Amino acid sequence: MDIDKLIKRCKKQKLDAQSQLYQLYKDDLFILCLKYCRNKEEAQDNLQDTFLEIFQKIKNYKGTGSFEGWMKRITINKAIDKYKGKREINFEINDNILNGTEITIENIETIPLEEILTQVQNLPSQYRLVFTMYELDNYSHKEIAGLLNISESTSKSNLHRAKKLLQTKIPRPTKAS
Amino acid sequence: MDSKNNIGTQIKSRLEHLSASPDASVWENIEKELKKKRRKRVIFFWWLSSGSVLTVALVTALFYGYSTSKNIHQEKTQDVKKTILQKNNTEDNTDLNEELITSSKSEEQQKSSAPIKVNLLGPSKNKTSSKAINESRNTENTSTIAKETNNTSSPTKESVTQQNNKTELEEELSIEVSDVTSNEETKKLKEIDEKQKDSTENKDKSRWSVTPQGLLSYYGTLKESSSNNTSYNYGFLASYKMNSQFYARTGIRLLNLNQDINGISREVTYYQFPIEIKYVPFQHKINPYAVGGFSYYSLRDSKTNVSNQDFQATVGLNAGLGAEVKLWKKTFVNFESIFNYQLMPFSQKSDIKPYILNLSLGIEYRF
Repeated sequence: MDIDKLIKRCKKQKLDAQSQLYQLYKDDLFILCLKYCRNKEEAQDNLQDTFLEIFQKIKNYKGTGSFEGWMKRITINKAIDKYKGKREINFEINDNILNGTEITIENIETIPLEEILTQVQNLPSQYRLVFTMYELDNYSHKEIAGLLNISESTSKSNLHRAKKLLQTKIPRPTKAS
Repeated sequence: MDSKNNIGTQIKSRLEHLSASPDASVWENIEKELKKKRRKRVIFFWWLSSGSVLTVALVTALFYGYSTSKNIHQEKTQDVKKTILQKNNTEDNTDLNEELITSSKSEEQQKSSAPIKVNLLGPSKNKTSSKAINESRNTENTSTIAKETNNTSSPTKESVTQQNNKTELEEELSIEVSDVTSNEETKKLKEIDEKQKDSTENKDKSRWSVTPQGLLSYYGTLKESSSNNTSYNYGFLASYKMNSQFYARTGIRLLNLNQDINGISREVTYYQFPIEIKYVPFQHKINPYAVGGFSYYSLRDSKTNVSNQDFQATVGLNAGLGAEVKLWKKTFVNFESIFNYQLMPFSQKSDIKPYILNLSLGIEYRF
């Protein structure tokens, strides 16, 4: 079925259309959830809440802009909301020394994907969110600061810390200046 | 700095190849939540609709009841007026006849003893007093006397005069009777009203009632043969007396239903919310009645061997007969047999057309 027709039927709350839409986008959004959440279970919970919100808010989708982009924003916002709901420790580190240092790693092609994903998921929540938003989904520090209610400098230092942690956790790390 | 070696860039490029799928339970949970939301919307819709229908029914019944009682009162008032008028007319006519006889007798006596007196009651006096009954009666007397005294007058003239005078007399009498009796009539009407008021006060004024009830439910199907259909359930009803014969009632029943169809075992639990009109034609100690309306069924639980049969909230039509037996002043025992036909019990097409036959026993308390 054409995506526009599918969206129209979803706006009418048709269960078969909702099911089709879910089948169409569940994998992409689940991978997104996996990057933002701590584990598979949390990612599945986030995916469930995301789709419920998508079906609820789809009537507000005007068709301007990418539908996938709209759904991804909902998914990320949902993960952020969950993080805000159980905010752990506020990592307010503002050491400018760290910001100027590039963290590198060599040849991670041989490292299994699951291992890399696990290391990202094992980051402290705020680090993980900042790292994923900035490095994987191309958010700016300004946008991240706005979404997480932190300062831009905090966002930058969180990113640096996240990379540093990943460097140590992922096998065969190297540091270059 | 080698951007290719940037840890973020490398991780991003690696994770782009990631593929994963959520468990099937995720969609099941989503589907369950969506149905729950839909059910809530349906419940809201049906309660809104049924509330509107009940309001209309209530207003109609109240208006009907009011206008009926008003008409009955008016009819009674008219009947009473007629009765009083007839009675008074009869009494006055009797009096009049008696008076006429008496006066005729006295006239005869006067005629024989004093003819001058007869002349004094002549036609001239009759002309001057047109409204007074006594004078009219004198006219009658005069005509009678004239008949007897003036033998030369023709009999036709006499009878015409008599008839005219009689008609006038009757009209005057009726006017006077209505004037005279108006006060009596008012008194009598007041007495009737008071009597009616007293009788009403003696009647049960209870408008509301509550009925806890136990049910023997038979969960059958119209097209397929089924077995293992019976279960025991319970419920609670509240009703409002709209007028002497019509009651609006609603409530809740918890129905644990089961049936086996062609080896497929089904067990469902519904909350049933009936909205019904009860019609009680008689007001005796034992009163048969009829019930009609519809029910909203909210699915609480379902167990079935077939996975593709997906039950959901639905509505049904109710119709049945019952009888109420008065135990004490405000306590009744109700026996009912209600047939409930479920309109759309499944989200998918199915040949199973289920119905519920409820036999219930309830204790109704009115207040």
